[in-house]
Amino acid sequence: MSLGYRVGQGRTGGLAALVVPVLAMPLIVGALAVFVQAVPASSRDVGDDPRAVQLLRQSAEAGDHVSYSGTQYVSTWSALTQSGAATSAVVQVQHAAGGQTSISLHDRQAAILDGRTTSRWLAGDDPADLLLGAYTVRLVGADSVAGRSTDIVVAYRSDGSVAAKLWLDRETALPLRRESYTSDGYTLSASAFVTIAVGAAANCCKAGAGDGVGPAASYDDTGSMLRWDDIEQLREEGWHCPGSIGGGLDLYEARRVGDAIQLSYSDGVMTVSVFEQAGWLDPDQLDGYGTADYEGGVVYPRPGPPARLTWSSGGRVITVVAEAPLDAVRDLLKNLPPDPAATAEENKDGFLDRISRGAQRVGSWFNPFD
Amino acid sequence: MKHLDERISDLVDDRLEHHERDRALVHLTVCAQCREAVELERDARNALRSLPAMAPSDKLVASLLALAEPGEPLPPAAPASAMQPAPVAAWRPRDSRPPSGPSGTRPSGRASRRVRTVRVVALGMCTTGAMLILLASLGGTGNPPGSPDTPVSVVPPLEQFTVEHARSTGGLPFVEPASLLVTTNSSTGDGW
Repeated sequence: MSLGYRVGQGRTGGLAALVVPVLAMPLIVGALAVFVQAVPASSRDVGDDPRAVQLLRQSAEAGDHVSYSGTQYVSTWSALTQSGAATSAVVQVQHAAGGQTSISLHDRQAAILDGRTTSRWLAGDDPADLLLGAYTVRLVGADSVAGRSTDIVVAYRSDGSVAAKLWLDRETALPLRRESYTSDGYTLSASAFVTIAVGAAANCCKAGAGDGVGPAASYDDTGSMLRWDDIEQLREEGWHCPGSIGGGLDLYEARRVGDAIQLSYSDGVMTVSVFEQAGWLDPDQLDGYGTADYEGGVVYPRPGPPARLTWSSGGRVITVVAEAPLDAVRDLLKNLPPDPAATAEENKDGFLDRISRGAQRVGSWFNPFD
Repeated sequence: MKHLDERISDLVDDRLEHHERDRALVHLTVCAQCREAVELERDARNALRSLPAMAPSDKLVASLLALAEPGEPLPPAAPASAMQPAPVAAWRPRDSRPPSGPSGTRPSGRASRRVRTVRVVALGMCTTGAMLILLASLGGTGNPPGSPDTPVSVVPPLEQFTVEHARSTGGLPFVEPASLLVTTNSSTGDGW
């Protein structure tokens, strides 16, 4: 009986062995056809090139170990107007290993920039993580920049468009040339060393160095840096402080600037700074701004570069400085919609509002918990 | 002018204002009907005045006082002279005519109340206005110390913010502080 059962089962299995391939083969062939067709010529489904990832991680740490000085040209375009007009300059750059970077323009020290080590970094441990988390990177070739051999690494968006090209020095991994683009191919910024000397930055980074002309901007203000605990506290007090904005830009640094909160966002290539101030925007005192309507509210843009926008939203004045495609700003506008201009002027600076504020102030005098 | 109707009693009892009384008298000169009604009212009034004084009974007085203050204890008994009510015929309407002569410098009761009301209203309005102005001045522009979140009119310091943006990008390995060039000294145009 048991044998007969097994025989019977074997007959059934034999039939299935004939039927299943007949049905499965077209399905497999169809699935392969769909899969092969879905794979684009771009690199988005290929994944990160391990060699490119290694080069980027080395490059992100290169400033900690390598001193250099050189001449660099920098050009930047406005993401708002997307015109051919650029702002360009030739600057002298001096960097001390593990320390600050001095940027001089026309033999005048323009700024001393701190490295990441003096910042309260909010976006993970490795500075390359921002770029590697937002883009797919590939090593696409080699080139020569300022007489030095470089590897070219390209960062691709998920739609296959090129976000940035980086020329990384083969000897030091320093980025010697950089270009960034919007998704439609419009160039946002470009820079390259014309000359560079590695290991030569003896005179770097003394405030007022060079000809001593004009004040240099030094930013040794770690006391104003904010940590995540501080940001949570600010949110409870009514500040917006989003952890990320559109376009995959994450918050990597926050600090107090006077009465404003500065929130810095980046995806490793693009950067946006959002400044929040308590109060209401006074458009009458804005000089050089345009006016743009956005869903019943008013935004005041200034094309730049860099693109700058400001508006009132719920008792806060939002100011954006963007070296990035406008996707990030659109997302910000969606989450923090601008107030109508009349609301800010009439309701919040009117006589009744002043009376209300005065009553609140008098009430606070008698409030033992205030 | 319409007939005097219910104002006839006021006219006879001399309870009309001065100008109303003048108008009523003018009307009487042309209206025989009202004149007759005034005569009847005046006769009735004279008849009442001619009645002898009548003292109400103690019981009636006590009942009326009890109605006036229900649940409250009765006031202490007044002296007998004070308990004597005034005769009905002794009642005289107040004079609403404009004062004249030395004794007329004091305004009448109604006018006095009106003046007092106007004064109270004016004083209240002045006090309220002063309070609103004080509150408005306290709630004016400018950030008071200790209340940084008070909504005020602000103008973002754009150049400073642009420099701060450039500074914040200095810690990023693959980003140019290009915005720093804008705030220092650079050329804007087609390329260089």
